[in-house]
Amino acid sequence: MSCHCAKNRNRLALLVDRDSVEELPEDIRRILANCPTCREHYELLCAAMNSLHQVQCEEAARLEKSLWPQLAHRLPEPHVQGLRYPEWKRKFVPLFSVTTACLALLIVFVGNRPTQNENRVYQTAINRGTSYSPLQYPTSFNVQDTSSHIPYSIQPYTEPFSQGDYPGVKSDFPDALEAQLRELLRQQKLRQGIE
Amino acid sequence: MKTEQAVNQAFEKGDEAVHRPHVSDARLVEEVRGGDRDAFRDLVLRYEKKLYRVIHRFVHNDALAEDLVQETFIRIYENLDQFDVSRRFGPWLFQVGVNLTLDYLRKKKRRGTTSLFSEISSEKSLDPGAEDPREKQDVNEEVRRVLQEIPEKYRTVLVLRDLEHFTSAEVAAIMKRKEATIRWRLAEARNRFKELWTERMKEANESPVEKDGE
Repeated sequence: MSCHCAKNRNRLALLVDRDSVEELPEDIRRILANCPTCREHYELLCAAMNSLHQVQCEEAARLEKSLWPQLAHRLPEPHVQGLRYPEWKRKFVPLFSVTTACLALLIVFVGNRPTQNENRVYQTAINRGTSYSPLQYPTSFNVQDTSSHIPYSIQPYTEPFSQGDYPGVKSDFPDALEAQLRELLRQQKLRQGIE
Repeated sequence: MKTEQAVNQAFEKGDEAVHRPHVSDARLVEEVRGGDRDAFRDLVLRYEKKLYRVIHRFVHNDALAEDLVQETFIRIYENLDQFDVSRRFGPWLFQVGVNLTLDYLRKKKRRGTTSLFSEISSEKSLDPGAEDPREKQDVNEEVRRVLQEIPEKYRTVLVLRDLEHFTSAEVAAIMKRKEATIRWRLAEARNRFKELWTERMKEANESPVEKDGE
């Protein structure tokens, strides 16, 4: 047997399950066609494996009846795996997590919602019918307020004002609302005066 | 829990009756861990036939194979907590079963008891109505003898792969070896079996001639 034949022995042994020679890889088929030693080895291998398979088919032992009835008596008492956490903790942790997440979502959602309070009036550029453009910055600076260099059109505004406070700026408040606010301010001043 | 009769009836009916084929092994293992014995019964019914056949291949004795199967399932039940559910249950079961069987055979060999072949020969009775099975029995016995001469690590692979038709990957999982190792061992086992079988056949063919010459 040449050294090549020795190398082929293991490959042939692994390919012996194939039903026919045609199913073998091309190089192995060529070897079997050309090398009598390899061919003989392969044929004997096939014969030996056939006898093994014959025994395998005939001798397969069958269990006549289930072993469970006997086995059930021999098994030790059921061993329940110990829980890593007590029962109340196992229930509490997910409940707590879900509640916290819901609360966090609620806070975020409610906090960002615009309020429905109609009394809050924002003096914005849109409300005034003008829009701010950075290109117009110095020229649109129409408020004569020297204390601030911020253009009026982008200043936040939260309090009602009178025309006298900002000369040259026309208030956009409806007259009725403005009168109501003035009345409220007047009452507040009176109250402060009394106190 | 089902009665013994019900279990046997289900066993005879086949796999679908009791084994809950739609339930995975991992799920059953979890249920057993939770203390459910019925889930373990399902695992036993699912695997006992195959395990018995595999163990019988090694010991060739019905009662002994049954004992070893039971012992395997008891070991499994006791060590179920250590089982990693992400792995497959089947290879683990067969690994325990095969190791238990090989340990038993090693101990028996050390004690120097009689061959298991003689035990099985006395167990099997010949059916007078059937055709003479002695010839087949001779072949079977020869094959067993040859298998017995092969070293254990090769024989185990040969039995699992060629007699029980486990895939190479399954054999690798059962024997806790790499698949490449199993393939190499399989090739070696087949070659050794072939050598021994050929020798036997030559001896068998030459012996009548020798007798004639005498």
